[in-house]
Formats: sequence, C-alpha cells, structure tokens
Amino acid sequence: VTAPTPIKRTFFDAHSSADATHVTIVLQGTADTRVSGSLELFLTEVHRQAIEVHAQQAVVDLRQLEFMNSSCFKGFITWLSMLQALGQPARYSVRFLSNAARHWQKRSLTALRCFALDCITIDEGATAQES
Amino acid sequence: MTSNPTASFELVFSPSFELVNLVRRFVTDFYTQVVTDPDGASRVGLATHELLENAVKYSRDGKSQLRISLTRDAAAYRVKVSTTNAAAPEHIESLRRIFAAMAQTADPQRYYQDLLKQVLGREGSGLGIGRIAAESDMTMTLEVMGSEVVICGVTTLGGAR
Repeated sequence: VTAPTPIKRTFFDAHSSADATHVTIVLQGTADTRVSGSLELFLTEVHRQAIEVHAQQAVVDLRQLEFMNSSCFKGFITWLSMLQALGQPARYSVRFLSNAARHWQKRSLTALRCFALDCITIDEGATAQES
Repeated sequence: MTSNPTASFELVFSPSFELVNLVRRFVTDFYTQVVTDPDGASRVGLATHELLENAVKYSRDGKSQLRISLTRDAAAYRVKVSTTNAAAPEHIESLRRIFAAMAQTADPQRYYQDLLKQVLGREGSGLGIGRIAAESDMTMTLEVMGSEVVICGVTTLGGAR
C-alpha cells in the first residue's frame, strides 16, 4: 500500500495515516490556488489507499485549516465523485472534523453534504478563534 | 438608510496569493470588530478571498482594485465588496456566461449545487462566484466597461455594535 505523498508548504500542510479500518488525513493552514493541484492529487491518492486497505471510513481533520478556496474545494468534489462511483462493497464513508469557530467550514461542509449526502458525516467542534 | 458608507476602504495593488491571504485576514478581523456577527465577518472574508484570487488569475495588467464599504441600517449593516481589473476578452465572455447562467436560477443554493455537479475537469467554471453567492449569501453583479471588469457582492450583516 502506497501512502499518499504529504504536502508541506510554509502556509499549508496535508498528511495522512492509515490503520486497518480508517484512513485519516489532516489539513492545516490555508489551502489556496498554489496547492490546489497538489491537494487534488493527494486526495486521489487517499482514495486509492482507502480502497487498498478496505477502509470503512476516511476521517478528514479540518480543525486547523484556516481557509480553503474554491479550487481546493473542487478537489473534494472530485474525490467524493470518485467515491460515489464506487460499488457498495468498496465504498467507505467520509467523516469531517470541523472547527465551529471557523464559520466558513460549516457553510462549505453543508454544501459538500448536499452534494454527497449518503457518504458524509460532519463533527462540529469548537476550538480556537477564527483568524 | 444613509447613502454614505459608515466605513469603507479601498486598496489598489498588484495582488499576489500571499497578499490575498493577508487581505482576507484583515477584512475578517475588521468586520469581527465592527459587528457582533462573526459568521457575517467570515462570509465577507470568503468573498474577498475568492474575488481577489480571481483578479490575480485574470487581471490583464496584474493590477486590481478592491473596494469594501459598510453602510449602517438600524441594527444591521449592508456590506459591498467589489474588485475592478482589466481582463482579456475571452475572460470577459466567460464571466458573462457565468453571470447569465446564475441569473437563470433564482435560488443561489440550487445554482451552487448544480454547479458542483458540473465542475469536474472544467477550468473557469465560475465555482468561486457561485460559492460567494451561496456561502457568503451575497447578491452578485457583473459590470463591464471596455476591458474593465467590476464584480460586486452585496450582503447584510447583523449585529451592529
């Protein structure tokens, strides 16, 4: 199983880990146009890894993600579309961990849930003040 | 409602992606101080970011003008965010198509959901504009004067201090 290539920039970080049932990805910083291509590739690799390990769930931790622009958001649409195209035995769920103080996350994740209602759950937390 | 803005600022600069992030933080912090509506401040920040990134990508001469104004109306504020920049004819055409499509759907949320189903593999789909309308709850307008493009979003924030 090949692990997704992490993204490490001064303003953005994406990395992942996997166990027998879960693939977990953590995004931190600001996801803007400069990393949209890398992020889409990263999410594609996460999807491949989740299939390879027969994951039941992918956990996406956005709690330290300050902002995500629309071109990076599109990477999630691409990922969820691939997930929806999977047959039921291979399909896994996606659980987002969000930060209630970052108000944009609630709106963006609500839009994602409307897009892929049958695949997504959202955990709303409350941590640091939005900046 | 007074016709004069309660507060306004204007930046004329050559935006870079680093500066876009700085401006979004500034705008979000500014509105968090002005109104007791942190969600509203976040909406204005999102719109500012998307509009400025658009300007970075498509400005013909690398320059852009950002204007944000705030007009008090009883317990609420009317906020207007706009960017002005020169754009290539093909980009102007693309913007006209995006705004025409948006105008055909009365509900911005419905338009946004339809857009999400169509964006795969497409560049210049107008996802950023659709996102501002739906997630920032803004009424969007496009004005073209020669090669100059003005994209404007207007919304209301609650919680005037």
